[in-house]
Amino acid sequence: MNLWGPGHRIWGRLFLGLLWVLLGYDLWALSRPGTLETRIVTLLPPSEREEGLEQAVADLAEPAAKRVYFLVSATEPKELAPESRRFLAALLETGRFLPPKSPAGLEELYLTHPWAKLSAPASQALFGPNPGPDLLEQTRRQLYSPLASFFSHPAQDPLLLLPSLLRELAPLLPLASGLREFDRSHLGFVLELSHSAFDFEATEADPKAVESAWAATMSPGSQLAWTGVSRYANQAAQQARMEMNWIGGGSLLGVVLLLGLAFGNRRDLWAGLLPVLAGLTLGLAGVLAAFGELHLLTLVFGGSLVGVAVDYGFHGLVHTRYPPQGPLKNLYPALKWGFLTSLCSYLALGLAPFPGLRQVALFSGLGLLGAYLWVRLRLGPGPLVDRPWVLDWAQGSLAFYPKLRPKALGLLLTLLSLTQLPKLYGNDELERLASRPARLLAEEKLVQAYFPELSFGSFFLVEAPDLEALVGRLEALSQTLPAWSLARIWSGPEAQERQRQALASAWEAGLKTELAKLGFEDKTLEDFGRTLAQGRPLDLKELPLPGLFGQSGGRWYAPLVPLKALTAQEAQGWVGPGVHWIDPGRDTPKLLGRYRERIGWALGIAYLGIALFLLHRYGWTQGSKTLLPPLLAALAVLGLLGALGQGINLFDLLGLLLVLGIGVDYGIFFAESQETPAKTLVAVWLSAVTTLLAFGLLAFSQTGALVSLGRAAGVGVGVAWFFSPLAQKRKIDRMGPLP
Amino acid sequence: MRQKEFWLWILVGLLGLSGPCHAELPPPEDFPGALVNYENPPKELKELNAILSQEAAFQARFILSVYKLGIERPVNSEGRVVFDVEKGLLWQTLSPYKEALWVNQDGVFHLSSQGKERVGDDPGFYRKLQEFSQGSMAKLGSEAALYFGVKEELWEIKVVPQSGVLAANVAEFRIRGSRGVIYWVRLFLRDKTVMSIRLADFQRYKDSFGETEFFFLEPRRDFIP
Repeated sequence: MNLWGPGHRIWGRLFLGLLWVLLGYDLWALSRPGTLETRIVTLLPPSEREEGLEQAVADLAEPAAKRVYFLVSATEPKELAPESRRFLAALLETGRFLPPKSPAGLEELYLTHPWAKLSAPASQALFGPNPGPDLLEQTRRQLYSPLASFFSHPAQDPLLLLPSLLRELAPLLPLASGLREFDRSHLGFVLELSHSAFDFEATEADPKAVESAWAATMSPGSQLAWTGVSRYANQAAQQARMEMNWIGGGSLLGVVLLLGLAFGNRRDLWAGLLPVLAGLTLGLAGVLAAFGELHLLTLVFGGSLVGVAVDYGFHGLVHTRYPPQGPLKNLYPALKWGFLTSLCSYLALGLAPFPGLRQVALFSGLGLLGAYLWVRLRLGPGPLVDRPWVLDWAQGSLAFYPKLRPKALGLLLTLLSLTQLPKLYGNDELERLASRPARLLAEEKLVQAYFPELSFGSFFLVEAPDLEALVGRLEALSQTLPAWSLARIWSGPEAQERQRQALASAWEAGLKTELAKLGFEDKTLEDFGRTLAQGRPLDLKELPLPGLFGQSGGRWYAPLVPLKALTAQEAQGWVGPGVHWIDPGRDTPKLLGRYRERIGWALGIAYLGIALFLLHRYGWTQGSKTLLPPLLAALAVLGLLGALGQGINLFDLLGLLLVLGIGVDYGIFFAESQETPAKTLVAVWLSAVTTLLAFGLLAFSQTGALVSLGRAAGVGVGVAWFFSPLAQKRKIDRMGPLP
Repeated sequence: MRQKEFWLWILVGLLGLSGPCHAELPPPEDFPGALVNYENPPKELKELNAILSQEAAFQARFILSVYKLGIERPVNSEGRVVFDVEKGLLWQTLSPYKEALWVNQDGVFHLSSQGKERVGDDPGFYRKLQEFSQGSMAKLGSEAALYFGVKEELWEIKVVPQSGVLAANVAEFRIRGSRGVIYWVRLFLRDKTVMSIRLADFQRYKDSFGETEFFFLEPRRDFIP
């Protein structure tokens, strides 16, 4: 018997050929670096902010995301410093880390461009009523201070402008490269990744590199705590990949075992799996072609699609392998309407302006299409399965089913669920959705105690049409808000030119002569005079510190990072035209909440649309019965969430959408089952168990979002499965009205 | 020569003689110190260690002379210094300007009537002073080479930092004293700056300072004679 069924049909062969091509494309696309995306925020839609602003936020956040903080501690501190230095050197040798841009580079720039930024006292003196005498007095004070002995370079900076500027910047500058000794037992340093913090393939090797460097350099009595955005991103990506492997693998194994149990031969095992493979191939190709990348969440979601796509193969195989054998075309109406209704519920995901959800919708829609087309075009008749006990069991179950009083149970479930519905509330906190292992959180907390800047995830984003205006806005804000920004270390070109001219003027007016009296060498004074006369403004791009400014859409942007954490309410005091408060911890859950509401509406519309279709196709009575499985399933899930008191989030609703698609399939197949409800029950059993395997496993994920999805879909599919026989047509309905 | 002119010349001569008072005192003769083996230090160094480990604090007057590239003459200042193993180093410049700096394990602070203002990290001095005053010469071993010389009643220690925070700024520093009293400290920075600190009225203490004594608000008299 030809496994490929009526494979001589042109369409079947064309479809097979297309799948081979797409499979090749999928493998090629997935092998490219950067194809897999792990950030959960990329699932979010572009915010209602301007595109340029959004781009600026992304650009300016990238350098901060690359920073990795290390804290080394020891109970025996004698060797702590030298060992830590060796550890730091070993980390740099791995090539995965770089020393951060050092503010030491700033010193050299200030020595050659002393007008680039003046300290507040120097600026007040220079633009005051007596610039020469006031500046001279400041210089004399600096000269006699022992601090200036360390931080001054009189040969290049006879006015000693640099020490007072550095003193002003000391609380603001990011950590220099090298070790920072907090106390006798704790040392820390900051490094930057040599790759993107969100490049999964690149960050995957970072933890191993750190462990190797540690083992090679540090004695057993020392402890390491390290943290950074990349550590969480990497852990999340590894977790998702691991889960994808065992969830997808578990699903597949379940499918294989079930098919083996139900059909008992390798040929039918393949026939059952091929619709799944066809669906996955088509889904992946569509997403990669449309988006150019694949989010790991789509892949995990796709792993669970196995439990859905396999339905069509199950129904087709049971219909054609179990007695009484019938042509596959008898199943076409059920297949068609089941596919179309499921497709509608998945495509409803695409209504929300989430790039990631649109990816999931496209993947799921194309996956279902691939599975459906395979069964329609490639599945053919096969040998009868010699498993009479299966059908006997199904028939017996159907006979026993009314004794379970499903209608009463359905009513009870409805009433119980309705009492819990008022307890539902929206809960979109990121902590609930993202995977943040306790171990990493503990290390982060430890490191934060010594690196207070880690506490600040929020900042002001200041924008202006040009650089001068931008720096002016930053300086104005800094008058009332202690914060780190570009304006602290750099003056705009026009301001620099004013400062240079004022210095040159004061220099020639008498400063030079007075410094000569203090003992400054002639050469020093001549060189400085020449620098003042011939100097040019320090260009912004020469600053060695990243993440200070950005340009997008013709506007200039710069972050202003408060030195003290602000609440959202406090921050509003500084928000205004050109000044935005960026608070990812607050903005993201708000966005998630808003789109949860939109998905909720989409779900309602999908239910309504499917209900109208079913009522139209089957009439009021049968239509209502067909709708019962997904409806009761949804009530059960919502009632459970209400009873648990954890609130409802976006991924709970995603699970409900899945339940709608799967549950209405069960109803339709039973409604269309005509003379063979037992065979339909066998196929529904097979389908439900594989789906439960897939979603049940999701509920054990470490990622909160997947737990929500798995729990909602698992409970929903289980309830839909139990109540699906209610959708079968009664004999009297099938026979038509009595004469 | 008329009488007026005579006295004028005497005055000029006296003024001229006073010129050298504004320059640094003649630098001390260097001792030919030998490299110290930390496992087996010389007897005199061990004795010095023992004396120093009895001290928890000291205070003195200082004259600081700084030689910097770009300036022909040394920059001189005077003041008071107090060091306490627990509280840190307080450097109070009194002439020609008043300034108070406090170095402790948390960093370098500028003290004023408005309070204390952190101006940076400890460049490594406080840690080294602690180790030195506690007689913990061995701790230097991993980060610096130590040279020790003795001449009559005087000893001199030369430290050449080789790693650590201090090594970034300091090429070497020398300390000279007699028994437990320090007379002279010279720092040779990597940018060719030389800081020469002469100490006078050096007083040592077995116990740490109280808060008010440390910040010069009250005098302290229980010094080791």
